[in-house]
Amino acid sequence: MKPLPQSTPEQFIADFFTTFHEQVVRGDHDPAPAMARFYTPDIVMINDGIRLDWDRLLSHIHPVRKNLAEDDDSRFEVHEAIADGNRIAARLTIHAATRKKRIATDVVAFYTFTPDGRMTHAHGITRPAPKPQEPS
Amino acid sequence: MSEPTSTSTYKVIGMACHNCAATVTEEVELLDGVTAVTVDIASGSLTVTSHGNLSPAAVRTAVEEAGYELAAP
Repeated sequence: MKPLPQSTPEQFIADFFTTFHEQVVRGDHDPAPAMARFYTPDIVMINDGIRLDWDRLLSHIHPVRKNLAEDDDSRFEVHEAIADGNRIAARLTIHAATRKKRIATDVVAFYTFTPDGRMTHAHGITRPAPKPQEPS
Repeated sequence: MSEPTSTSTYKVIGMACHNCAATVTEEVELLDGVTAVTVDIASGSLTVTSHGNLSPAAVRTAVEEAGYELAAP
């Protein structure tokens, strides 16, 4: 990953998740070596109050791979992001197509990165993104 | 007289978010006789209530169809 100071916070987050998706999620290779380029071994991700460590994040890759459509059309739409040192607060929407439906998930989270651009901590909340005609 | 119900709990590997819970729930709810499905993402538990005895093999197949795995009992 590109170190944080070389990007705007918005671009850094968009690039992080886009390349994570391309290099870790897509394909049928062992995801662990690729994941190590994006997450530190001691990563802690708290998502909607659920604590996920390296092993749980790794075990999540296989079902995600199985459920994504062949052309998953995944997109990480970063609405805003603010950096403070090695931390970024961001509001984004994850778009993807699964085998059965299209999904869009809003995420608001704080992320902490190492100097070389790996994520070491994340704490956020999510919701299904409102459809365009629904009030947000 | 209504048929007796049974409840079984399983451990699912790979769930991490609400999309995971929804995917597993939707698939298990399709099984004949299932009346309630509860997923706890934090612990990875799946609790299934059904009329009569639901085959664990049927639950395993549904979970695998959803893209996940059941832990060994």
